[in-house]
Amino acid sequence: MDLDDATVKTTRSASGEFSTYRTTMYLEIIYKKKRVDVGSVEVAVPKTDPKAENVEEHILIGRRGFFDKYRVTFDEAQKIIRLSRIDRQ
Amino acid sequence: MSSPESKFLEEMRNKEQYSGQWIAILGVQIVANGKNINDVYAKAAKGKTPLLVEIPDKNKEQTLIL
Repeated sequence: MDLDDATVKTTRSASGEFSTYRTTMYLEIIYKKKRVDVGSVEVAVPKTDPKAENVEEHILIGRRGFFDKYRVTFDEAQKIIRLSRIDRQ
Repeated sequence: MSSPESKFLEEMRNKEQYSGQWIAILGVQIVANGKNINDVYAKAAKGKTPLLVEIPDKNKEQTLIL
């Protein structure tokens, strides 16, 4: 990943504040051996150890870049997650 | 990090011909297309992992159910 120090911002979570790089990544959902295109999404990458082998486990998607483009519904009764693309004109 | 499939998708022209359909991309070619994701996957997979893409139909909401 090419992470730019100029993009570092503070991210707030339930456990407190921490620094993240902001970048755009191409996202796919992999589920039951299927790879499904989601597209380019703005993400936040924790600043601590961004070269760690498991860094992808810590990449954050947020309200801008993902949840403003997709409606996500968790239906526990049917055991499904529904992802609907929101078209904004 | 992008895959050959995602790069092909990014550069793909004339996506509209597949409007409302799923397409399966392996490498730099479309290997299957259709209305149902599971049917497209079954046609395309054959031991490999194609990238499945839904080409938007302007008149319908795109929904993926996991």
